[in-house]
Amino acid sequence: MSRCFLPLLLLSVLAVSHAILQGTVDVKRLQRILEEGVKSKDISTLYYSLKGLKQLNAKIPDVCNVIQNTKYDLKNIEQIFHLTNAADLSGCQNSLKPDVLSAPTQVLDKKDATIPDLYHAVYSLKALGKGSIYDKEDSLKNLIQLLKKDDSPANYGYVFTLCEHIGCTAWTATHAESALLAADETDGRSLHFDGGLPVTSLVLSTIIRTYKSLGKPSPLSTEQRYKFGAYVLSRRSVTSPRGAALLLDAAAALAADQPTPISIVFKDKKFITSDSDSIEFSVTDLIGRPIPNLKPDEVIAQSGTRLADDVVVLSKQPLTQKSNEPTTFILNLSKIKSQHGLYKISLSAGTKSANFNIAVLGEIQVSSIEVGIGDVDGTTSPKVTTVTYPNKLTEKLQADHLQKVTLKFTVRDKWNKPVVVQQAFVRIAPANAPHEAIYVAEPDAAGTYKVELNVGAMSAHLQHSGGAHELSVLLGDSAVAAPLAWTLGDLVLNFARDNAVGEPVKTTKSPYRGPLPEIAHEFRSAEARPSRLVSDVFALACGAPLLLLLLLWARLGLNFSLFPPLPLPALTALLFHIALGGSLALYGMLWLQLTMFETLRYLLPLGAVTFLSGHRLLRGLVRDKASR
Amino acid sequence: MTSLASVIPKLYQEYTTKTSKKLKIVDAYLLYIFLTAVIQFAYCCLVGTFPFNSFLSGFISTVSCFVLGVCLRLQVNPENKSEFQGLSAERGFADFIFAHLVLHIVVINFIG
Repeated sequence: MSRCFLPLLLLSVLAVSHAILQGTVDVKRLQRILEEGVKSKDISTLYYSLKGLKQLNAKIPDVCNVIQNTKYDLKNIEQIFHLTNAADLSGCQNSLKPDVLSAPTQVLDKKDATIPDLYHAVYSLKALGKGSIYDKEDSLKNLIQLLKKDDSPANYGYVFTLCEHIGCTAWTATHAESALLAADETDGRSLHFDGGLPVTSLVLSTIIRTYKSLGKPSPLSTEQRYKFGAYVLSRRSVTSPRGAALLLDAAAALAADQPTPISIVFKDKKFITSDSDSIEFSVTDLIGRPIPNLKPDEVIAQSGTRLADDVVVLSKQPLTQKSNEPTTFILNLSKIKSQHGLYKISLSAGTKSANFNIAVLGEIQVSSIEVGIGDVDGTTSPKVTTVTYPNKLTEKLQADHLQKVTLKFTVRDKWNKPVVVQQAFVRIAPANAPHEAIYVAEPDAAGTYKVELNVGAMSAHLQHSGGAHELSVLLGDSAVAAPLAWTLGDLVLNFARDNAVGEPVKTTKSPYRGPLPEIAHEFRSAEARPSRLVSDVFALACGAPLLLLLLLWARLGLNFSLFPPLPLPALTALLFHIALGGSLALYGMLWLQLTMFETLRYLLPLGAVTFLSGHRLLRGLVRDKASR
Repeated sequence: MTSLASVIPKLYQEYTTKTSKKLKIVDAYLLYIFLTAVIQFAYCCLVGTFPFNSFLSGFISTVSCFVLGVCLRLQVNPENKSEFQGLSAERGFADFIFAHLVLHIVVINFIG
C-alpha cells in the first residue's frame, strides 16, 4: 500500500516549493549514533560525538582514559583541535600532556597560516583555558586580509566563529546577510553552502547564535529558513557521528530561530478505512518540538480533492488538537469514507501549506459468480453453474478443447454499489505443479466483469498438461483495505486427443550445473565382414592383373638392355632401384606399424638417395641417347 | 556394322605397328591399373564398402596411378614433343616416380 503511495507523496513534495516541511530530524536516532561514537578510539569521531551529546544535553560518559592514550601529531592542528576540545567537552583537560600547547602557538606565530588553521589554533587554546592572546583590531584586519584571498563560505563561517571569541560580533552582523546570499539553491527548494553539511551547519549555527547574543532579529528570511530546513531534512539519513553532530547543530539552530519552520508529517497511517475515519498529523518544528505561538485553529485542511477525477470533497476544515499531545492534530474524514480512492489534502499551518496524499480504503465483495461451459462455436447453450461466496463448486467441471469457460461476476462495495477495481484476474493452475495461467478480467460499461476462456487456446499457457486445475478469482485495488482471492473449485481440462486426461506432460529437468560426464570417443562398430574365402578370392583377383602386366611386358620384349654395363653407373642404377624399393617397403611398414613421424624421419635420407641416384641414372640415359 | 567389324582389326594393326615399344609398356601398365580398379569396384558392389576408408584409398590410388600413367604417356609420346619443349622423357619419368612416392604415402596414411 505505502509503496505505491510513496512516489505520489514525493511528487507532491517536489511540486510545492518552500511549503511546509514534510519530515523531521529523528533526534533519538542521532543520539544513538552519537552514543555509539563516544566509544570510539578515533579522536575526531570522539570530538563530534561529545559535541553532539552536549548539544542534546545528554549524559557524557567518562572518556579521559581514551584522551590520555590518544596518539597525535603536533603538526596536525585539526587533530589537536579535536583533542583539546574533546577534553574540554568531557572535562578531561587534566589528561592532556603539556606539549599540546605548543602546536597552536606555533600556528599563530606562522606568517602564512590559513583561516581554518587559525580557527583550529584559537579554539584549541580556548579549550585549554588560555584565553585570547589576540589584539582585537589587528586580528580582525588580518582575518579580513585573508578573507580577500579566499572568500569561500567555509572561511566566512570560521571568521564569524572567531569573531565570537575575539569580540567582533558587530562585524559579523554587518556581513552575515551577504554571506547568506552566497548559499547555493537546489531545484528552487533547498539552500546549502558550498562544502555541504559541515559548512552549512557551521555558518548557520554561528550566525544565528551571534544574532541571538546581540539581541537582534534573525537575518534569515522565512523563505531561507524553510529552504535551509529542506536541505537539513535531505541530509537526515546520516550515519556517522560527525554527520549526526553537524546535522543536530544545524537543525537545532534553525528550530531555535523564530518563527521556526513548521514541519507536518503523518503520525502513523496514511489511510482511513470504514473502521477508522481520522488521520493524525504531527505538527512540529524541525526537531520534533511543538511550535510556539501556533494557535490550534491555525491548522486547517484547506482543500481535499480526489486524484482520480479532481472532485473537491472538503474545504476549510480545521483540524482538532489532541487533548494531551500538543503536537498531534486530527483530521476527521468521516464525510468521504464511503468513497474509496486516493485523495490529495492541502494542509496549512499559519501562512504555509503542503499537500498530502491519503487513501480512503474501501471494501469489496463479490456475492456470486456464474461459471458457464459451452461450445466455442456457440451452437449449444452453455451450461451455467452459479457459486455464492465463499462456497466452492459442488462438482468438478469438465471442459475440452472445443469448449470455452465463461465467468461472469460483479464487484460491489460495502453499499452494494457496483465498482471497478484496478486489478481483476482469473487464475487457472494445476493442483500440484508450479505453472499457472492468469487472465485479465475486463469490466463492461455496466461494471460487470465477464471472462471468456477458450480451452484450446489455454493449452499453450498451461504447458499442454490436461487434468484437474484450480480455478480462482483475484481482485485487488490500491484503495481497497483487503484484496479478495476466491478459489472457485476444480476444472478438469482436456486439451487434445493426444494427451489423455490426467497425464501431465513431463517438464524439462532443471539444468545440470556440475561438470558434464567425460565424452569417450566411440568408433564405428565394425560391420559384418565377408568370409575369409571371399576376401582371399578378391585379394587374388586384385593381384591377377599384375600377372597380366608381366605377361604383356614379356610379350612386348621388355629387357634390361639399357641397364648400364659399367661398374659405377651400374652401381648407381642399382642404388636407385634399391632406394625406391626401400621407400615403398617403408610405406608398407607405415601401414603395418610405424607412425607418420617415424616414417618421415626414415624417408628423408632414403628420398635423398633416391633423388641423387635417380638423377644421375637418368642423366646418364639421356647422354647415351644423345651420343647414339 | 561391317565397318565396325573391319575398323577394329585395322585399329589393332595400326597400334601394333605404329606405336613405339615404350608406349606399349606404359599402355600395359595402364591396363593393369584399370583392371585392378575394376576388380576393386566389383568387390565394393558385391560385398560392401566396409571399411570405407580402405576401399577409398585403394580405389583412389588406382585412379591416381592411372592419371599419372596417362600423364607419363603423354609426355613421352614423340608426337607430343612440341607440347613439352625442353622436357625430356627422362624428366617425365622422374616426375612420375616423385608423384608416386607422394601419392602412396598419402594413400598408406589413409588406408588405416
